[in-house]
Amino acid sequence: MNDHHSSSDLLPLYALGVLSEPERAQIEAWLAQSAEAREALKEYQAMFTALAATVPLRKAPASLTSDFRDRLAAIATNAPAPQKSGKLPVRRLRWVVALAALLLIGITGIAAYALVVAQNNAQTLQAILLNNKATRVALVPQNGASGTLTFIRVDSNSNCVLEGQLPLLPSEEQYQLWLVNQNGERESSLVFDGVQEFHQWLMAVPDVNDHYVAVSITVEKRGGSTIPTSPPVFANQLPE
Amino acid sequence: MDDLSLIGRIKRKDQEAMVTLHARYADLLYSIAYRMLNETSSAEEVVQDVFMKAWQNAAQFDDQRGPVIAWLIGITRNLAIDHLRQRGRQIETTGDRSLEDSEEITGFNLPDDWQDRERVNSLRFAVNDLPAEQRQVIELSYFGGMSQSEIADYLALPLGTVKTRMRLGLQKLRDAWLKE
Repeated sequence: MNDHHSSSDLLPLYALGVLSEPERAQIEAWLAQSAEAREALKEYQAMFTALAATVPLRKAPASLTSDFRDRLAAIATNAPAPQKSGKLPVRRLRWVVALAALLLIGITGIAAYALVVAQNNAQTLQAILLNNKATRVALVPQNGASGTLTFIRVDSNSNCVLEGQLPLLPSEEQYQLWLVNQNGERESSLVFDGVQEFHQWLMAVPDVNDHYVAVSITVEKRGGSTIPTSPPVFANQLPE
Repeated sequence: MDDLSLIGRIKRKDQEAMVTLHARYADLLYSIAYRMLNETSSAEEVVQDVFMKAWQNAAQFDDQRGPVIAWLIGITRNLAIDHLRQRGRQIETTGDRSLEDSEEITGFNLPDDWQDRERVNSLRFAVNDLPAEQRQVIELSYFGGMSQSEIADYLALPLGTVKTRMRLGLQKLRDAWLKE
């Protein structure tokens, strides 16, 4: 009986999360065997949630939500700093061994960094694809080209996505995607190979503050060109 | 869109849904954090960290354990308590200060599906009616994350006195809460 009374007194403090370890263990043992205790705990938890809502209202700074939006966007678009590789042991090693160790650490570091970047890019890509405010524009084949491509962009996001498939090119050629701004200037965003199966490419927007009115894709020499040198094989206007 | 739908979208990493949730509850969580920390920049920091945690841990949210707002409030309390611990706990309790100034607050943007909206008001009045010494220990526990022993040390009171005040105060709040 005393135990029960003691536990009853402790139950609200358990809900508050301010019990010592032995007290918490006592309550958890009681909760495990008593449905009544579990119900009482639920009531306390609801009451303490409500208690928080009794505090005097203060307006959060208006910028808080927009700052948070920026913070989220930054997480989605910024590649994390490369992970530091392990420190070399300070020992007198033969230079061949030291070089091998350095090489190994370098390779490990690069692999870890590549993995982090790849994971981050995948997250960024997913964030754009899942954004219900993303603009999706089907690119129209030109000059007898074949394939299907969709250009996907979220306003003010520094990345955008191209998805679809298009024919392979001779090894000395690649496709190049151009974003056309209001002044008719074409800015290169992506140089890529054709793929026979559906693929998604993440690319950086050349200037996130620029207003782009159209997208076009040309075939250029491998490595890309500074300006388009052939007629577009895909193109379309972007909505206002 | 209700909170559960928003959380569903947040679990799929929909940033706009997360921003909507932020806009909906930033004031409430900021008010709680400010009440606990009594300082604007720390309260702002806590609010942003709460939503970032919610973004990162949305998959762990379980609606069987309570509404979204309860989950957010829980995170807010924990993070604010961490702040208090880091800076060596300087808690402001209402003490003799009247809570009347909070009576004019007609309510936060509480979710429509929260069944306890009316009970929040009853609870507010019950808190206001508590004797100052009972309110003080409850506030130190709730807003300061202190155990009864810590409160006894903090107030230089016997532990038994703290326990009695706490028990009596919580019993009154519980009665008011269950009466509705």
